[in-house]
Amino acid sequence: MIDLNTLTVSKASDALDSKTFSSVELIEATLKRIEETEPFVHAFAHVTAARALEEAHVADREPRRGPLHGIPFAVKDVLETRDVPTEAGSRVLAGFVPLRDATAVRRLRDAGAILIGKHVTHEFATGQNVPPTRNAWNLGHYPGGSSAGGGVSVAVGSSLMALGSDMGGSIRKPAALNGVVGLKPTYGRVSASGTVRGASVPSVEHVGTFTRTVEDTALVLGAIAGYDPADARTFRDSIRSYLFEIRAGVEGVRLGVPREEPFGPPPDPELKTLAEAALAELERLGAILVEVGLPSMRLALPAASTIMTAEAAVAHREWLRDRPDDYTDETRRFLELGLISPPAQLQAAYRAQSALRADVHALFREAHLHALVMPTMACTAMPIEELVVARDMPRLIQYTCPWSLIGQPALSIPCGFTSPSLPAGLQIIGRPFDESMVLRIGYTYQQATGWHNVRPPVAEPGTAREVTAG
Amino acid sequence: MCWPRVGLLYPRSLVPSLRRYLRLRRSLLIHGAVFPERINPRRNRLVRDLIDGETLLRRARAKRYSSRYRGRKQIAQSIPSITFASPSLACYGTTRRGLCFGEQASTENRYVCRSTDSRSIAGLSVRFDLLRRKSGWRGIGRRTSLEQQPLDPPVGMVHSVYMDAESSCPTPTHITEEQISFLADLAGLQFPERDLRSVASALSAHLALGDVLLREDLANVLPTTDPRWHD
Repeated sequence: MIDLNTLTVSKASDALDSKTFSSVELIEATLKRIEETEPFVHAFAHVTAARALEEAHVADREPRRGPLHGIPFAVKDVLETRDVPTEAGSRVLAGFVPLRDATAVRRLRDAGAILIGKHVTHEFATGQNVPPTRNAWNLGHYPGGSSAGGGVSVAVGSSLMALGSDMGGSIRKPAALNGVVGLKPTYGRVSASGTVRGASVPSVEHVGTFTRTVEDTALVLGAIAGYDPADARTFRDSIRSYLFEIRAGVEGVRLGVPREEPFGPPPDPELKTLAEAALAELERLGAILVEVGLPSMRLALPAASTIMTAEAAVAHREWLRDRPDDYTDETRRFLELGLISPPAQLQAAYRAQSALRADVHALFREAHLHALVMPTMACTAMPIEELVVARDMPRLIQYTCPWSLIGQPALSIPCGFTSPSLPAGLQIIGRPFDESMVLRIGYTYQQATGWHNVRPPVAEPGTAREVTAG
Repeated sequence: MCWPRVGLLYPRSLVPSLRRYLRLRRSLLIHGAVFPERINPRRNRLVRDLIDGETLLRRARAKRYSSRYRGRKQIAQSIPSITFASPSLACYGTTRRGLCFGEQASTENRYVCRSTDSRSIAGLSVRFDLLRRKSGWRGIGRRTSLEQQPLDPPVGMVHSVYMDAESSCPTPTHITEEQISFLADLAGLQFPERDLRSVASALSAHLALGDVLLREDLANVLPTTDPRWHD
């Protein structure tokens, strides 16, 4: 019997290699887990069960193409998938079935991975509405967003790996709030071609991954990264296997610890304590901690907000005019703001984006840093009924949006739990295109701690109903 | 009124070498310095920076710098200076011939910028005058010694450009429903039968949040989405 509570991509790959179980068995177990958990967590917008089983039969007959061959994956419902609806959590795109796969999806499929479904997202990934998805650790709490389904699904074991998109923290937030690993690669490292019209913010959008371990992240990133002629934002640099370097340890690695003030209000005390404990652990493992100031980060939230609002709105002009009732009030207002905001503010935001990038570059160079380390979130997952998006969004993204804005790679890994058993995340930010270092730090931390092995109660077979009843 | 950030007009042209400038900038960054804006050295030859005066003063007094600081201080006693009357202002920098640093006058609540190079004082003074004119703030850049009278606390420029605890919660701009209607028309949107108050208040909040961007001097920054660092 396949134990999805402890299974990871690399373990599944080894098991498929050694024929401990087949791809069909793995897909069947995953579909069963989806059936068990979906009534409670609502992580999937579409499940492609029949097609996944069909592909699994083919995968079992073929020689293995690589470590991802025969492994199930799911993608956020803003990435286009051939012959599978891509609705971006909206009524506007209801029933839209693309004719092609997004580049990242196609690359995973080319590597032999099997699509099992599409994950729930906020409407057009704007994060303005509250989707039905629930936190994997407490069904009454916020799961993060906008790639909420990906974080929750990987946490409860209904996906072993998932693709998401990140414009202000949409991968790292749900990763932190659900206790899984989330990577936002460097801007341009992974092609974002195939992001559905209406959910694209070209200047800050990234396609990234959800997995349970950093090792799995390295595997998936290796498959999806690289130049894409369909996306002019990608670069023609060579992609190495990220697995080679992650075991090098952190001895002598210089980690900058940014002071928290410019980012916004201080984090919840419990999160701060957990981050400090994680830093102490990294220091024990040989890293050198350097406290650094990044005062210009106070511009990050205004700049990111301005850019996201304006760029997200562009594709919606006609829909907003012709089908305004197909939007939720919150999303419609958000998009309308983008269309009526002054261009001068947008221009200033673009300039601030470049200025921030230059400042962070100078900081890394002058303090000889390899990476920055800080909490992923300033607050834990609040109860759904207490969430007011317009009020809480700045606090939810204050530590994540700066790195989406300037495009540096950022990894969120689990680093402990707050008192009501909600997970916390540690964020590692690297130099542009230096995902290897980010993964290396995360991997070393995970080898020394066991937070990534703790699974939510809903993932224990037979306990989902009890958790919900409670 | 407490001012957590202070302004420093840093004459890039007076720095003898790029290496020295970078070394200084690195140490300032590590100690919390703020560098929100730059003036293209090719065009202006001046770089205006901000630093946390309190941090720098603490650093200057720290043991590891004490001997250097003391030595410079002795030299500095007899050289031209600029006095800042605001209690939280200080200045720090390097010049062609020596160190330009801030110190607090022991008996008067003032900070003094001294330099071993009188030309740098002139340069600083010019920039301070420009800033003073632009901001309407009278309390900056008197090119003299400690005899200055205490001046008013900074208002205007410093407050508007540098976000402190207060300005991080800017006052929302008031947008009327008529203005929303007009803007929507321009954007090709239609708001039939809608209560525009919520859009107006959302736009007000949005503009207030982005206002800090418009007040930053970012004119010489070239926008790009290229994430690469060109070392």
